[in-house]
Amino acid sequence: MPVIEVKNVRKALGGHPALKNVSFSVKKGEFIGIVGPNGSGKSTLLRSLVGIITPDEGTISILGSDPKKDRGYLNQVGVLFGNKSGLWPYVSVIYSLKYIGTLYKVKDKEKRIKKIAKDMEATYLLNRLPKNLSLGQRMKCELMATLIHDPKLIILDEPTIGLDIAAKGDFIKYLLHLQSEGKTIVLVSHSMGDMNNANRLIVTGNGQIVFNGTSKKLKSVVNYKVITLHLLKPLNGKYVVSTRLLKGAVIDDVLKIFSSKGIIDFEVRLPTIEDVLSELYRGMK
Amino acid sequence: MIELGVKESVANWKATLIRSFQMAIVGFIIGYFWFITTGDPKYMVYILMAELIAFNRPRVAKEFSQMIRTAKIDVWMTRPRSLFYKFFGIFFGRSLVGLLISSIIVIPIAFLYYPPHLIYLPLFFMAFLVNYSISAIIGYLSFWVGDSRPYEFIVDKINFFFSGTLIPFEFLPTWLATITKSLPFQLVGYFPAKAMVGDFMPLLFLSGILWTTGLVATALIIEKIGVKKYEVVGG
Repeated sequence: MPVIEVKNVRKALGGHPALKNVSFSVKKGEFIGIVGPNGSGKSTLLRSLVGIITPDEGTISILGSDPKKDRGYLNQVGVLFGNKSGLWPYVSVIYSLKYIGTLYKVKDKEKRIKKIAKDMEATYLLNRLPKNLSLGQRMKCELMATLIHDPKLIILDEPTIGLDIAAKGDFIKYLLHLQSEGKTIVLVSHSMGDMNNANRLIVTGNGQIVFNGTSKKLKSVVNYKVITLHLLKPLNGKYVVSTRLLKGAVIDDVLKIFSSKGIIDFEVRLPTIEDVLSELYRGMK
Repeated sequence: MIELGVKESVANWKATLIRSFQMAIVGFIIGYFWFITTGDPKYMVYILMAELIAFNRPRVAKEFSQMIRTAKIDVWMTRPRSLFYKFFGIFFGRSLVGLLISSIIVIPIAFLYYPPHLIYLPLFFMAFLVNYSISAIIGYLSFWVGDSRPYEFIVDKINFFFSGTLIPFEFLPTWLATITKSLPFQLVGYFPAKAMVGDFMPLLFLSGILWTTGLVATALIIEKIGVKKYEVVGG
């Protein structure tokens, strides 16, 4: 049985369709990335998954339960909203965590908190006030709160927003560790760096799923390579320019076009996920 | 849960202390006015007790309203149990600290005239529960109106008058006293304050239990309807 099963979900918000016939499923232990431009329906989809909003049509099943009818499933799901804190700023982190543990009826909260903190190398944060923490540290604490009840499914909405590269790396590394423990992870993010480790990507656009597959498959959607040229003379004020090399095009022909600017060096590479998504997003507008 | 509210209030001790002094000053001014008017110290103690409860009432409406408007409520909606329950302990802890600090100033005066009694504890708890339920209901209105804080202001003023915090019911015209005695606001002022000055009313206690149960049930039902109605766009 899939951990998440979404079938033909439709939802209109303020009279405008936010989700149009969305269907997908997630298997146990998968790491799924949901990406899409602003207003593409990512957040509406996420809120539908966790029962915050009810679809107008279609069905959603999370761990075998309907999120809107049976709230009991919340005991097995951990949700983290990157831009919304669930910690009390003027009270040590450990007290917020204990309180959240009480909501989930966690037995021996103190022991559980210490274990998660140790796993995340965040024991030093437990007695600090959230208001004095850096964004990266705060996000670690939010993740501890998300994991306090040892959920089977972890849903994260933009958890790495504003984090530096090192903090982002640590965060994703820990998510991979959780996946290795058999947990299912759904990550909604704008950051493509976060998605490199996802088993599967779901790209949303205009309230629909425009792509559902691996990142390798996503790259094959486009039919070009990228050529980057380092020039002696600037072209439109730039010394480094990139352009597409369509399938069948001859590199020499491209080089001839730029030869008047004096080519110092050039490189040809496959498009990155960012390139492909930019392409997809442009197509949606 | 209460622990978190207590810790939070202790962390914000300056604000709690200022509020307590503010309460004591207002209580003494109004109380002294009634003492001079009636020549009976009972009314000064009555007003001080009513003010003690009024100043430390939970203002959960503001918190709920802000969370709903900013969609921060998403965080709490994805955790088990009702919003009413989730914040009850925290606000109880806050009120408890406020009550204790205020009591340091007020209680010695009250106990000079009237000795402490165990019945005060359930009465204070009932007053807290009624205030919390009314405030939560106002907060839940944000599911429909966006910002319910103006309603809180209006209900606060109604509460101040109809709870007997400003004027003891004995000094109201009979018809107005009849109306006020049929409203739940008396449970957060008149009823516990009267008990403190030796006029405990068992019948009112029973009707208080009914009112409290009704208000808690209403708050939970409104929350349930509001949560279903909740719709938010964007991250």
